[in-house]
Amino acid sequence: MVKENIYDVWAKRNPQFETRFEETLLRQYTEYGGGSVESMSSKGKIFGAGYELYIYAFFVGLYSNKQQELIGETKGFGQPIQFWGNLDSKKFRKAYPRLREYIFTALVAKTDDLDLIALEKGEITDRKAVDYLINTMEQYANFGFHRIEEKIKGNPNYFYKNTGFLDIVLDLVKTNYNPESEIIEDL
Amino acid sequence: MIIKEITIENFRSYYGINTIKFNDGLMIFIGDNGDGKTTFFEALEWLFDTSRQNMDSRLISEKKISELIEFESEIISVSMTFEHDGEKIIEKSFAFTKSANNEIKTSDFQFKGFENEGSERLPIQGGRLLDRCFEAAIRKYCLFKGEENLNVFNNPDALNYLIETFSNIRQFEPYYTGEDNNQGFTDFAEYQSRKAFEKAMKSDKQNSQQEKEISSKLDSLRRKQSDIKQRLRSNRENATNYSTKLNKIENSKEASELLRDINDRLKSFNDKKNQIEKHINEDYSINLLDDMWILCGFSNVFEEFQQKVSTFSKTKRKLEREEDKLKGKQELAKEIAEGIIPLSPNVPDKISMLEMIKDEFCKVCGREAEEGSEAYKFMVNKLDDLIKSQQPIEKNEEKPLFPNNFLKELEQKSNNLEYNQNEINSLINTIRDTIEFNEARRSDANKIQESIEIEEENKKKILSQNDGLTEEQLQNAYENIKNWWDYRSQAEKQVVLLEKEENEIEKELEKYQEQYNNLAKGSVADTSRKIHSALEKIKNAFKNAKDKNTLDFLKHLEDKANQYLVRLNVDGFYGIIRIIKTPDGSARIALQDKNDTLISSPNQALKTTMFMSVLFAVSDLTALKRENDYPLLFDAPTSSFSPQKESDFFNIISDINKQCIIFTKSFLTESGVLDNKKIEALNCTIYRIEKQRPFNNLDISTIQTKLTLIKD
Amino acid sequence: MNNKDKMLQLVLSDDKLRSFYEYNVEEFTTVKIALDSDNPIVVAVAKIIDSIARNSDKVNFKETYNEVINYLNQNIL
Repeated sequence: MVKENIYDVWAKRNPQFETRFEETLLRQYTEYGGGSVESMSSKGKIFGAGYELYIYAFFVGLYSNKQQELIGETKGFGQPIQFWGNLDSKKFRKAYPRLREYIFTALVAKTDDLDLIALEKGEITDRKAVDYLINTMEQYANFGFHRIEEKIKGNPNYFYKNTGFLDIVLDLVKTNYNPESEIIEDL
Repeated sequence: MIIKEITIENFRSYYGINTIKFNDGLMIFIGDNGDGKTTFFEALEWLFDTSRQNMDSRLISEKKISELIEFESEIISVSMTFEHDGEKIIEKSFAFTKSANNEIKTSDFQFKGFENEGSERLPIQGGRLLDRCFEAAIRKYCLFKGEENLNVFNNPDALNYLIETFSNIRQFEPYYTGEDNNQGFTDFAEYQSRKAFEKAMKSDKQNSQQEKEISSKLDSLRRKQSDIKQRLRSNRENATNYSTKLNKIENSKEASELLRDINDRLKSFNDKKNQIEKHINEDYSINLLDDMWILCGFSNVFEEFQQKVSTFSKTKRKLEREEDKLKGKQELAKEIAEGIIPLSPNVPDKISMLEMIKDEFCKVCGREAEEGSEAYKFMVNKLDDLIKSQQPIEKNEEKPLFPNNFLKELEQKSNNLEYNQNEINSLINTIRDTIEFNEARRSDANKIQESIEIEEENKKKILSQNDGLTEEQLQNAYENIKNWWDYRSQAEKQVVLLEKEENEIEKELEKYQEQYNNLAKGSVADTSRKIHSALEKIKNAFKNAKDKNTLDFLKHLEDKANQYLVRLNVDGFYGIIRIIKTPDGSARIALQDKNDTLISSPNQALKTTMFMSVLFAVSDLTALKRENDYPLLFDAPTSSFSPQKESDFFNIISDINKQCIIFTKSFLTESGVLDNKKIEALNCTIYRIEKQRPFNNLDISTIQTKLTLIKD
Repeated sequence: MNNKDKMLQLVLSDDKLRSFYEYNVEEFTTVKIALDSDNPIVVAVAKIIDSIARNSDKVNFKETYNEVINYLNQNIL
């Protein structure tokens, strides 16, 4: 029996998020709850499927290097990770399947609970290993969602300006670079 | 009449109370478009309007309205203090209140006047006082809004009014009109006496046959004559109308070309702008995913990953080595425990072994080895070992230390993604470059938008200066010109033909009339004939007298106007003003050079000077007639003048002994600041009209006009 | 010289009228003087000017006309 890749096991999963973000964030900025990714421009939403905002939130958490435990009710998306980024290349969008692999490598790097040697020895199952990875993923994304919500409280229209989402990422990246390297200009 | 003071309160952009004192010479108000010049004018027009009680809430200052709280009231008013046989005041006002649902209600319209009688001030109804001192007919020749309204004869009744008011002999109308309707007495008398004459002729049986012939001929000729007169009238009208249209278009040929240029430029600007905007793509949020911009900070993370994988690999190999070592040690230990080092499996060889087993005899030690004996079993086992050692080595059935090889997967990922690290590292630069590119394109597009707005402004200016012509007409100038030219020529040709016919008929009429008259000689109808003949001649005498009176007046007005033209156009070419009576009962102002050639299209500045000269002349006549002078108010009359000409112009006007008030946007530099050098060169009182700063162009309740005295 | 007189002078100075009816226009400086003239045309013109000046309404036309006609009937040669 050929063993499955850890990546593939992970990709079959459907990470969870706190249910309250559905109303406050997903419905505002994504098509979550209706429509295909390609029709997003006509509805005026910024992102297509809900997972796109989730990916964004994940990176916010990742670059902030902060995780936050999920509390209360949670739910997942309509598609497991393996389909994330597989957009039909239409006029406005491109597919970005490789992003999944990068996320995976980030999880491997940052999940200290996962003992790779134990996994290799078979002392823990691949399923268990992936549990750890998913947990890291969910907690980064959760922090990201909270962060986004905070921002909106202070400035409800912040994310409607076209550099809104980009700026937050650039700010985080800037503070992660050491001072000697070049400074990214504020937008 | 001299204006002494005007107060405007809460009228449109004039928030609060604004009072201006006037002297009796020239006063200039300088302000840019939209600052409040024309509003001042309109405030006066509202004050002078005696035709209705205008309480339109749109006249009220928005700023004042915005400050009102519920149920609070304020006043809007315009008042003028003037000198006219003593000091007098007229004031018009109404109140406005903010109601519960933020609406404005107006009420309490008042139009008051005051005049001084001895030491007392008597109230009087505003309209009455106004009509007495500054009635509508005079006001028409005192207030001029805009350069295009300076031609006093644009109003077809103007000539009649002027003649009635100022000519030597007035009231010719009741005596003679020349129309078929017998509105003038001599027309009536001539007609009646002719009828009487004809009646007398018919009752005389003597010449009844000839009388019948001639009189019927006369009747038919007269009918023809009347018909021709009518056609002449309508053709002349057409010719004039098309002439006017052509003039407008001719004069706006320049405007039409300018308009064409502007529209071309606008199109090219808009195309350019669209091109540029096509390249702008600010879907940054999408770029984060589709172009993986979100990985711009990923380098550190990836390094961590690679570290982890490398550590993982090292650790695994170390453990594997240790395991192997351990296994090797175990085997060695086992061997040492047994004490004897066995021979190598290949010794003896297979064939020898088979032989020995078959013979049941060990040929090495020379002893028998029967089947079943220990020596026999040993030999069989040894053969087994030999055979086994020649087989491929089987995997140990022992569990391996690392049953999984996820490391391989992770190493593969590490290598594959490593390949793209360069791109990832340069993402920050890519992002910055993209943003800069978009911003540069935006700023280019904005610059072009500014140019577009300037051109639109210019276009508006041209259209407003060519009042009465739409953009379409201006654009289709060339097509219209051709048509109108044709129509006018046709009409003019008709007029010539008809005039010839008219003459011929007149001659024929004369001929037959003479025959008819001769018939009467010696008959009972003769007296009637003589009477009719007398009345006819009297009628013509009145006609000629009326015409002469008009021409004398026009000449008089011409002379006065030319005196002013000389002064106003010093150092420049001016020509001679001619005021020409037109067949339709009005007049037109034309310019001739000294060779008596008509200058057909004088430029706008020359036209303005021409018209203003006539207006000054009319004002003189008024002053003479009324023994009372009246002020002249002009709104932006000199927009077509060159700056130098303007300064000269104003200085000359300030020398003329008249109260003259001019609103202008001259003497402002491009940036909207006063040109102090030019202002110093003027010798009159100057006010500045401007919008109070700060203000918000999109919020009319922040607009307030400020008046500042600049020079006294 | 008032308006009527000025009008009288101007009308009487008409060439055709003057030459046909042979009068000296300088003699008649006012309407009053003209009304007393021997020349029936001069008188007629004066009458017309005077009457219409007093009342220029069309209702006055008939009356003025009759007056002038009667006068001319008796005096014209």
